[in-house]
Amino acid sequence: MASLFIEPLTAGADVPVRRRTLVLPRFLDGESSARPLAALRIGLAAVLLLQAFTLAPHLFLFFGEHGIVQAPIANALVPASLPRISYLIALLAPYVSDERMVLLGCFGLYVGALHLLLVGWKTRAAAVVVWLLHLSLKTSANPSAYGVFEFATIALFYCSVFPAGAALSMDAGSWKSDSHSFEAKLGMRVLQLHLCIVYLSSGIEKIRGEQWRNGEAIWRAVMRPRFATFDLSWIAAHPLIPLLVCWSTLAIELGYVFLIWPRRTRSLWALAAIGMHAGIAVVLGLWSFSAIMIAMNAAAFLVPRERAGASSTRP
Amino acid sequence: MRSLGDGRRMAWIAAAGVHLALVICGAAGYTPVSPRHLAGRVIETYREFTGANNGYGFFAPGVASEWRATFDVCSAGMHCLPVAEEQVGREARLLLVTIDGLLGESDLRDLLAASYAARQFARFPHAEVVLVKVEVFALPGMAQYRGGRRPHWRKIYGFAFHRAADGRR
Repeated sequence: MASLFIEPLTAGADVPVRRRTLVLPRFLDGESSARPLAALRIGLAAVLLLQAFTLAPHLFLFFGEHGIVQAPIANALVPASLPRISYLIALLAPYVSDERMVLLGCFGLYVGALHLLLVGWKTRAAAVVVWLLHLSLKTSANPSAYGVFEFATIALFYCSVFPAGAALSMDAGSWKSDSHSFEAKLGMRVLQLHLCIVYLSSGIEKIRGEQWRNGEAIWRAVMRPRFATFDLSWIAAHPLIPLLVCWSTLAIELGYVFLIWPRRTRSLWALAAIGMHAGIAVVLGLWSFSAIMIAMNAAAFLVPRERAGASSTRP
Repeated sequence: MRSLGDGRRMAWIAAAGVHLALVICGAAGYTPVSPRHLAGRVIETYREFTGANNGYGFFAPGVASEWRATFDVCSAGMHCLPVAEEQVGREARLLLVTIDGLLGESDLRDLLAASYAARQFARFPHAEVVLVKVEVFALPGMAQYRGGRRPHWRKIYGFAFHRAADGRR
């Protein structure tokens, strides 16, 4: 990490005192608003709450010991160090005989903590509880966990570590409240850099595949019978359309790391990424995954982070 | 005026740098320290907890074929009836589709089929046999589709599970 120590002279009464002062690159120096992290917290909690309500009727099917993938099989696929519902069931066995009550209790606590995270009351504690319970539920239903679970884990970790409750929260005193801190700036930078890694990695993986270079990838994605929301078989007669969509996706993902930082292209590229995820939601029906990605992009690059009246060319 | 001391700032930045380095390792599919060592196990646990171990190759380098399992439940006389797919909403269906995707992995297929069969035995207590049929969606390319070929579900494997005499599966 590039940094520099300088030793300015501080005037004392008689003898100058030498004090080391840390000088950081502008990218990390100073403070910024906690609102981007607050936006991440609110978007994430809202999406996870909606997901929880849609999955609640099938709780035992996916997360239960005797669900569609039984616990011994699901447990064998993940490291023993990860928390899971079956550990709690074993722990509480002397007190709770019905293992379904443990799952119901965990899920109830998860939903309750998500509400606290949403409104920002006892935010740090709520974020840690949601993070660990989400991880436990994800581990217990590991074979069914797709992208949304992974990104939720990432975002919940950031909400637990960084001051996501320092703005737009009950903790901060009012809905219009805000605070500026170094931790908020670092949290925002980590989120921004993480998104750059995500898109660059995804773009590189895609462009290595012939399907993405010749347009077949979009054809194959929209024709998956249990994903597709519309009949798009007609695009086979217009192969230029999937070809353009493939290369647009590659351009957005590979260009993200370069074009999200300059002020002139920042909003355009963030909106392009958001548009891409909105398209994924509509065409492939991946609503919760897309919503989390949209929340992460908007929080990282679109929510104002400077003090009122200040201007900056920095993202 | 700074609210945080320089030492603490440096500690925060160093921690963030290490975390992002692990994120890059995850994206590249690289394990930085072997889990055979204690340090490696600690790092792997950290990566699992924080999501820093994730790869991001969604639908990459190509879009995989879709897999599914269909079921017949049979009586003792082998009168079989097909079982309708679980009636679930869209989000839950995505989870089902994700599980079915594991049928493409040969080392998990048998285990998963057994787990599916157990589910069907629980749903249909009078079933004596559950047939699990594993299918893959065979999708022609765009040019083949224009030439008249159509997608279809192709049967790949079949499993038969019998209820044990004492009621176990």
